[in-house]
Amino acid sequence: MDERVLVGEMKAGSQKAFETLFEYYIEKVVKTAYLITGNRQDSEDIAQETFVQCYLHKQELKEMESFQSWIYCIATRIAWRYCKKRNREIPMEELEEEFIERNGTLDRILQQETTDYIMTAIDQLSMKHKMVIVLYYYNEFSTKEIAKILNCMEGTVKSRLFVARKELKKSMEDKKVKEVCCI
Amino acid sequence: MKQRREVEQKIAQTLLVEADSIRVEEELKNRILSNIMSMQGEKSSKRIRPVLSKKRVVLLAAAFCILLGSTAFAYSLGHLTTLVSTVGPGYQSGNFMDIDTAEQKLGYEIDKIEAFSNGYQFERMYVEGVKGLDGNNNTVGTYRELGITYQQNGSEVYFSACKPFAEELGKSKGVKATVVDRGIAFWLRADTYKMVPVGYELTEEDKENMEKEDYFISEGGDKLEYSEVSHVSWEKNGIRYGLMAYDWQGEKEELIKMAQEIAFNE
Repeated sequence: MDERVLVGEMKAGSQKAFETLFEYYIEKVVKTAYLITGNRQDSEDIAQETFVQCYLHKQELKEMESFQSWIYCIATRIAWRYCKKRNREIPMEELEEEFIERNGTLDRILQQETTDYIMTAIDQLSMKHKMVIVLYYYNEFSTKEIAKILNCMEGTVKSRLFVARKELKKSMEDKKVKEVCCI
Repeated sequence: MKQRREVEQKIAQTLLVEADSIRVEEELKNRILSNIMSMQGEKSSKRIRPVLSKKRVVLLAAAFCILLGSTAFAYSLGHLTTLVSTVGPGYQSGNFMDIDTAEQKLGYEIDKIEAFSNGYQFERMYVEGVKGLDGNNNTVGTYRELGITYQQNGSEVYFSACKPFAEELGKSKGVKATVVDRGIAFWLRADTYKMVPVGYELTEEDKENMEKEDYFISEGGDKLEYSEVSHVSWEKNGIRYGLMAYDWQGEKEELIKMAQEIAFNE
């Protein structure tokens, strides 16, 4: 069914329409939140808060066709808050657990395959750069859509994307140099 | 240009692989929907309860069912209006020896037992978070709760321990029996739960039944199902304990005896 119709029905109070939209977006929201926070528990909490907010504030959604931007806007704001909070409060023990969670077993850490290495480089980006990278390359949003989600100018998105890509490219090149040195 | 495309492909591929490493379980979906439904229930004064997986009943029952009584779902706690579980297990273990780690997660030591004299044995433990929300759904605080599953011949009993919000402590409504032993009061409840699928429409009979203190409808199950839930709760040193069983076949007093074994276990 057309998403606009579903959104209209949800606003009119249809539980079924809300659940259909929930079913369609839940996985995307959890995975996006996971890529941003790097923490599974947080990503599930963020998804829960996102859909609670969506449900409670559904009447505030003005343009029906912008539901996708709206839901990601809620999710990224909540993810931002979680990351800021985690940076302040995270105990060392949990940091270690998360490192293992994200990177897998010690063997895998030692192997440092390409994807692991790039993921580590993405994790090291600042939050604003990381969000743009995830939304652009994972969610495949255009820079215009990302600007709407993050509530900023499209030029700002392009600039962040440029800086982030440059940093990641540098990390990949550094990795290559290291590998050559090792050989 | 080619190099840039290569970099971009690697970034996109890495994010896809990383995202694929996590799965979104049906249990998570049901839990989120149930929590949302519970909010809707509050608004429309329906008393549908968002507790369906047995484990979640264990972890939240003491707060929802026992201490609040059945007058309303998560009402009457001052500024605190709703309790929700933070989704996903924080810590789990199938080894009782790991209780020290679980206690570290909680931040305090608890009364515990590995096996009861009636044969129920430790099976699993988990530490999860509980979040308190105010009327505007703002988080007013969180705490951690330890849950333990005991098992004997396929029958399970669930134990929980936590330091809840001060507003949650104290005797609840709907207590069927109270036993006081060595200065500790053990409160027994026995409730009927009708488990219904998400989106279930209440019948007139349901609405009548929900006026009873010991009858609840929980949303989030796959099908219609009835359960008798027996629960003993007690408090010691600011910690609230609970012991719960579904469709308990033995005498209710036996659950109280099990609770006493935990409380006075040296």
